[in-house]
Amino acid sequence: MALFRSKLMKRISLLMILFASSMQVGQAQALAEQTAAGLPLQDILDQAVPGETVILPSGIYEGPIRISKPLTILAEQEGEVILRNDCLQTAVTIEADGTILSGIHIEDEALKEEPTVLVTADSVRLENLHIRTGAHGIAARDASNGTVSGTTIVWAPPGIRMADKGNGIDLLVSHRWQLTNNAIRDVHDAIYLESSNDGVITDNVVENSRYGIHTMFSKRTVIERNVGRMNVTGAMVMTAEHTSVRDNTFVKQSENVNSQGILLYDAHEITVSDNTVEGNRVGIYVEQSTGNWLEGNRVSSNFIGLQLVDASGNEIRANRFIGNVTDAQARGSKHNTIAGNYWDSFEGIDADGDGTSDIAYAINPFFASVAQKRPAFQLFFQSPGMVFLESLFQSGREGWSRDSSPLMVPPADGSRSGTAEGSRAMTGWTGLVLLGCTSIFILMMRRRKA
Amino acid sequence: MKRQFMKRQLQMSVMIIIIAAVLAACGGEKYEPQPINEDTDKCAICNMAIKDDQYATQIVTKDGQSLKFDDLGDMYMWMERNGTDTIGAAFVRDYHSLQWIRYEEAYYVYDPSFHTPMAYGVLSFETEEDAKTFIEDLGTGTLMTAEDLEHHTWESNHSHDHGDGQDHSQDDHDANGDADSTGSHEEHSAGGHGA
Repeated sequence: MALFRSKLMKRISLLMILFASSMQVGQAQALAEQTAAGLPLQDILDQAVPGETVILPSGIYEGPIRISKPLTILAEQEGEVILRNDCLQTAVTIEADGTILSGIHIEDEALKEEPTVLVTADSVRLENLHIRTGAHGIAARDASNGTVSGTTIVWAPPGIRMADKGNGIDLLVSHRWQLTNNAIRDVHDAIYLESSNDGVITDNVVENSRYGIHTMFSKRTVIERNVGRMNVTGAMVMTAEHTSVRDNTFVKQSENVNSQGILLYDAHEITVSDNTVEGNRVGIYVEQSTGNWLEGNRVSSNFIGLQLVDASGNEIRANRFIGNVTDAQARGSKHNTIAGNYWDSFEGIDADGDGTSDIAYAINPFFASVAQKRPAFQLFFQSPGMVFLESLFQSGREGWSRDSSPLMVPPADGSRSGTAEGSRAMTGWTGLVLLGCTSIFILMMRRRKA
Repeated sequence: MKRQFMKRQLQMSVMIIIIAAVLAACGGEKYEPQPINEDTDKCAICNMAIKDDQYATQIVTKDGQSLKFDDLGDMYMWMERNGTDTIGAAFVRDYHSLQWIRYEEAYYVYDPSFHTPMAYGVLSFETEEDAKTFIEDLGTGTLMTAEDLEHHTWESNHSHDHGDGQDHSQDDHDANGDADSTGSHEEHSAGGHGA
């Protein structure tokens, strides 16, 4: 009887599983596990003719796959088509120009060398994918004009050190890619471009990775409206020309001893404007870089707002440095045009009332030099003794980096100051309301007494 | 009796002084390479995080400070900027064993197609034989000594982009692919899970 009952129960539960899975594709997993190890996607693709649109019904498919003729591969229902790859090869290899892959979940969780998605063809579009990877998420090699949009890439294998992880999107000698609206986290470099020109990187969210956006040997990259949080460095622009870094937000790049919001190294003719750089170890770091334009950035609550090292010929204007432990550090940096910035730690004098201080804001190189010579002395960052010594050190003052006309109040910049101004207004209103309540309370108490 | 004791004591102290002097002399000569800490070490030139791999190099200065680099080319860049007077010892790594070796004693293989972190394309080997075998296996590369490196031009070979790179079937990059497939795992194109 007991045996019969358990058998019955089993049968009922089986039925229920079947029922549930046919009703709700979310449970397709259970069904697929019963039918087989997964649907052979490669066979389906092999039967398609070039140029065909293949719409995949929901379910679990087995990788790896190789797309060697142009196909448009879509999920019937976005997010319900799962491609699983258990081997150590690349899960999806795209060799055909013009391939479109959209709405698919790729689970490629083994720790390995080969990237999860490898693109070696031009004009490939990857849209709304969800990738769990144990290597590079998407790698492009000698493949240009591609797009990655609406895609999430997450590192899968647990307990792997950052240095041993792969990159989210990794482009090598691949030009004119559009990377937009993607979310990438827990990887090595979230977006990495090497020798890849004219990349457009916009509206991505990059988190908990080594470098959020890292470009090397790449020209004319556009980096706009991205958000980076908790990376070692938000945007790392190295050996680059004519790149624009605009309207990005990099916050809390502070967990690593080498963290910074934006780093320029050997970078030339780069525009860094209207970015919000907040709560990082160093806000904007510029080394060995010339001819760059830093304007209208909001650099706040960093340990060091702006750090210049052997950087010359740069133009730094109308930035606001607020609430940083040290607004700026510089050494070996001459012939930069620094003017019209707001440094909140600086107390200027404006006798002629033109809104700018009559005395220049000079950046004392003392601590930067000491820390370079003896890195351990960074422990004395802003310690009273060091501040005192720094104030004593005045030699070669003419050669220091200086803002010739520091602003007395932060520059007005309309819409973008919204958050800070908003929160201030909010505080004001809350105060008024509280005050009102108190007054009413007092009045009522008095009346009752009378 | 007392005199003998005094004499002994004198002998002892002389011995101690000699031993101390010898030890100090030995210690003074010795510059030890430090291990790479991937979490905190950054290249003294380019600021990049250093991977604990075969491309890492380091200089130990005479006052014991260790400067680390992610690419041999960056170490040379440092020497160019700062001179060699303060250098106690310079180290590179054997490509296969990752053992630290004195840079003067290592053998080098250069090829523009080798993919190193800063694209200088110079690899280091402990023995000449290993270096030669490596060249033979790949069919490309120039064998060099530390002396040869001083006359090396140190170009960062990243100019894969000819013009706008509309079409880009550069041979040098194809060679890169070959380098990868022979198991010389490297960071940028393979994720570098090995080492």
